[in-house]
Amino acid sequence: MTRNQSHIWIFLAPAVLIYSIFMIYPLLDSIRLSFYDQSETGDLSFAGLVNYVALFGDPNWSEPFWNALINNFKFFAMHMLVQNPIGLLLAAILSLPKLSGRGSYRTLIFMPTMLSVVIIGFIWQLILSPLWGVAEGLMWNVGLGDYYNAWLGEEGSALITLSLISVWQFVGIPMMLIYAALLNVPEDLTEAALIDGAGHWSIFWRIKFPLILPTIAMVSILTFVANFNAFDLIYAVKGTLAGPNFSTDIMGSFFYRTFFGFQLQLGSPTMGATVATMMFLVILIGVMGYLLLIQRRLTRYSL
Amino acid sequence: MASIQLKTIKKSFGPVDVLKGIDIDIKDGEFVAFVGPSGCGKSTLLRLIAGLESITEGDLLIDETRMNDLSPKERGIAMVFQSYALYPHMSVYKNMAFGLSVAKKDKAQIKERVMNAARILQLEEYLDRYPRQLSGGQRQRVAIGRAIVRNPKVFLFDEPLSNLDAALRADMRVELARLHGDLKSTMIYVTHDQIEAMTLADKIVVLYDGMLQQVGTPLELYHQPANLFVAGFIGSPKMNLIKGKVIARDESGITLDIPHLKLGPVQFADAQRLEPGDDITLGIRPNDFSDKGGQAGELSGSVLLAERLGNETVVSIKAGDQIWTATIDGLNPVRLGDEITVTFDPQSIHLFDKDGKALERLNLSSLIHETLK
Amino acid sequence: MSHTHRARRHLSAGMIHAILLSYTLLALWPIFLVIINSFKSRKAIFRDPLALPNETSFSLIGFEKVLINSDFLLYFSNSLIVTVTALIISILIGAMAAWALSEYDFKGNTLLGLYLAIGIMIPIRLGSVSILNLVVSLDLANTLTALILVYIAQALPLIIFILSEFMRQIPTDLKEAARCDGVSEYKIFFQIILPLSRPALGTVAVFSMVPIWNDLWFPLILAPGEETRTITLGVQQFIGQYVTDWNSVLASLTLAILPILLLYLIFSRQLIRGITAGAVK
Repeated sequence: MTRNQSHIWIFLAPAVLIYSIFMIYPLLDSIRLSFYDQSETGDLSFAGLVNYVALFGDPNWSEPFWNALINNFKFFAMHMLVQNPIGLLLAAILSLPKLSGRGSYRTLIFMPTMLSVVIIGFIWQLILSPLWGVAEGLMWNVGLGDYYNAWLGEEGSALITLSLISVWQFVGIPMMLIYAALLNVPEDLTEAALIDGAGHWSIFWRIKFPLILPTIAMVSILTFVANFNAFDLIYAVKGTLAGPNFSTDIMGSFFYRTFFGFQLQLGSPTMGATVATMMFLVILIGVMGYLLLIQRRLTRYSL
Repeated sequence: MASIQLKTIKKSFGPVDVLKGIDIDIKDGEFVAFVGPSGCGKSTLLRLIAGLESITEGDLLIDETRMNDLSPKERGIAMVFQSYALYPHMSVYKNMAFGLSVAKKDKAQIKERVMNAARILQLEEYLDRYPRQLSGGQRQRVAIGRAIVRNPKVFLFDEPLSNLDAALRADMRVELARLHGDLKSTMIYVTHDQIEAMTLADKIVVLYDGMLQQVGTPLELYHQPANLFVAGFIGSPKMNLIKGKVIARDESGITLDIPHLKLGPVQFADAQRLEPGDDITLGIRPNDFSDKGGQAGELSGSVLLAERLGNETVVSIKAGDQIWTATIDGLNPVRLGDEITVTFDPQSIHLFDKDGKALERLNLSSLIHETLK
Repeated sequence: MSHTHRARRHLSAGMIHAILLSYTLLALWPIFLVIINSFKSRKAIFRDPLALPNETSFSLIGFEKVLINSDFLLYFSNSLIVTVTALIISILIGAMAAWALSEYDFKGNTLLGLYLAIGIMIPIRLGSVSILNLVVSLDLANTLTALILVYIAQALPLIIFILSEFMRQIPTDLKEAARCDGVSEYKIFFQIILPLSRPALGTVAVFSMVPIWNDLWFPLILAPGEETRTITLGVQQFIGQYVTDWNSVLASLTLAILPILLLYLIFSRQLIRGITAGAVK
C-alpha cells in the first residue's frame, strides 16, 4: 500500500517514547549498570561480574541476599496459602445464586485493597502495639489473652505477621478476579449440573473450579510478581532495617538499602542495580514459567 | 413414565407476573409442545417444572406427587438446554456419565447406560472427544444422551433445535420423533417454531402473555383456533383477520358485512351467541383461497405483491383499504397492479366475537374429526 | 419432607451470611477503629479504644496538630496534581497507541504489542537506579514532573492492553462508514472511537489511579523534598516523626483514608463492573 501512513506513527509515538524512556531504557540500563563499578568520585568503570561475585561470594552481601530471597519466598507462600484460598472461598460464596446483599459485601470486603499499603501498615502497627493494647484487649475478651504477643517485634513472628497484614489488605483482588471468572461460567452449565443431580459442593468442585483454573493460575502469577516487588509495607512498619535483625527483609527492602545505604554503609547504585537485576531474573523466571508451562497446559474453554 | 398436572400455576418475578394461573394435564407418554412468542412465559413454565425456578402459587404434580418443594434431582426429570450446556472440560463420555457419577452409581452400570445411550444416538465413535471438537448436531445429540442415561420419567426440552441450521433441524426433528417412539417417555418441548410443534407434538399448549390460550392437538389448533391470538399464531402464511359486522341471523345462518367480500350466510354451531349489529372478526387462511373459481365466496381487488414460491404464489390483494393474503397456483401469470378475483368455500371461514373468542365451526370434514379423536 | 428441605436451605443461607458478615467486619474494623479514635482525646484513646467518641472524649486535637505541624494540604494537592495529570496523559496517549495497534495493519504490529505488554508483568521499580540517574540528568529531581513521567510509563502497558482489546470489538462498519465519508483518521479516533470507548476508559482510569495515588517508592526516591511530597510519603514521614503522639498519628491516618474511602464509595460500582466485565483477563 502506498497510502500515507504517518498517522499510525503519530498515534503510537507519544506512548512508545515515554514508555521506552522511562520504563524499558531504565530496566536495560540497570542491567548494564550491574556490570559496572562506581568509584568514590562517581566515575563508572566496566567491572564484569565483580558485583555478582560479591553478591554471591562475599558474606556481607550474600547473607542478607539469601535472607531476603528466602524471606520473600515465605512472604509469597503465606499469600498463596492464606490469601488466595480465602479469596477463592469468598468468591465462591459471593457467586452463589440468589444471595442477597452481594454487592455490599463485595464493595466492603474490597475496601482495604484501595488504601495505601503505608496506611494499612500503620493501622495494624497501632492495633498490634502493646502500648495501645487493642489486640491484646480483644484477645482477653475471647479468652485468648495468654496467647497475645508483640508479634511485630519478635524475630520469629514479625515476617508472618507482616504477611498476614498484606494478605488482609489484598484478599479483595483474588476474590474479585475469581468472582468475575465464576460469573462467566454460563448459568446453563450449573443448571444442567443441578438437573444432573449435583449439589452446590460438587457443582463448584467438578464444574466451576476446573473452568476457572486459568484464572487461578493468573491470580497466582500476579501474586508472585506483586510479592517480589513489595517494599512499602516493610518500609512503613519496619523502616530501612527491616527488623528485628533483618527478619522481615525482603527483596524490595534489600534493594532499597543497597541502593541508598543505611547507617554506616554507603549506598551503591551499581550494587543496587545488581540486586534489581536479580529481582528481575526471579520475576522473569516466574512469569516465563507461568507462560510456558502453566498457561499453555491449561486449556481455556470457550464458554 | 409419568403424568404431569399443573394446577393454577403462577409465577412472579418481583412485581412482574410472568405466569398468571396455568392449568395443564399431561398424560403419561405424551409429547407436549409449549409454543408462543418470546416472552410469553413458555420457558419459565418449563423451568418451573424442572425445579430451576420456584413456583409462586399453585401445584405441580408428577405422578400424583406434589413436586413444588423438591429439588430438580428429586423430580425424576432430565432437561436438554437450548445452548446444550455441555461441560466444556469433560469428554462426551464424561458429560453423559456425570449425572450418574454424582449419584454414585457403580462404574459398570454407568458404562452400560452411557454406551446404550451412545448407541441409540450414534455417538459411539465420539465418546472420547470434547464438546468443542463436535459439530452442532453432534453436541445436540450429546445433550440428549445426557438426558437419556438418567432414565428420567420426564424429558424437558428448551428450544433444543434453535441453534441448528435449517437442514439439520429437519433431521433432528425426525430423530426426536423416533426417540419419542422408542422411549415412550413423557416429553415437554418448548419452541417458538410452530412447524416443530405441529410435527412433533401429540398436544400443543399455546401461551401468550402468561396465560394459556389453547391446548389441543395440532389439527385442532389449526382448524379450530380458540381465539384471535391462536388463529394468528398458528399457520403460515398468517390467517387473514378482517373486522366486520353482523347484519342478520336466521335459519340459513349469519349474514356478515365485510367490505369487498362476497359471502352468503354462514353457519356456526354456536351462532346464536351473535346478534345483528355485533362487531366480529372474520378469518380466512390464505390457502383456503383459490384462483380456480367455482366456489361461493369471492374476493376481488388489485395485486399489491406476488411472491412466487414455485409450488404456489402468495399474493397480497388490496380491496378497498384492506389487504388480504391468498395463496394461488404457482403458475398463475398475475402481475403487480392486475385485478384479480379469488374464491373460497364459505364454510372454511373462522369467526371471532368482539372479545376475540372463536365461534365453533360446523362441517369440519369427517377426516379431521377422526384425527381429533 | 418439604419442610426439612426448606429448613436446610434457610440454615445454610444463614451460615453464608454469617461467614460474609464476619469477614466484612474483619476487613473494616481496623479502619473504623482508627477513624473513631482520631476524634478522641489522648486519654480516651488509651482508656477505651473500642468506644465511639462521646461528649467527654471527643477531641479534635490530633487534627489541629497535624494541620499545624505538617503541610497536609500541600501533600494532598501534590498527590492530586500528580495523579490527575499522569492519568489524563497516560489514558490519552495510551488510547491513541491502543487504537493504532488494534486498527492498523503495519509491519511489526504484533511485536510492538508484545513490547508494550512487557510492563504489565515486569515492575517499573526494578529500573529505579537508572530512573533516578535519568531524572537527575534531566534536572527533574524533586519535581512533580518526574513523578508524572514515571507514572505515565507505569500506567501505559495495562491501559494499552485493555483498551486495544476493547477497541478490537468496536464494529468495523462504524469506522468504514466514516472512511467512506472521507473522515480523516484523526477525526475517526477523536470523534468516534474515543467516545465509544468511554466505559473502558473509566475502567482503566480507576485501575491506574489507585497504584499512583498510593505509591510510596517513587516519591521516596525521586521527590522526597518537603515541597513535592505526596500524601502517602507525607503521612509516612509525619508519622515517623510524631510516632509517640497518638492523636497526631491517628488524625493523619484518618485524613489520608477519608478522601479515598469517599472516592471508592462513589466509583466502586464502576470499578467492580470493570473487573467483573473481564477487562482483566
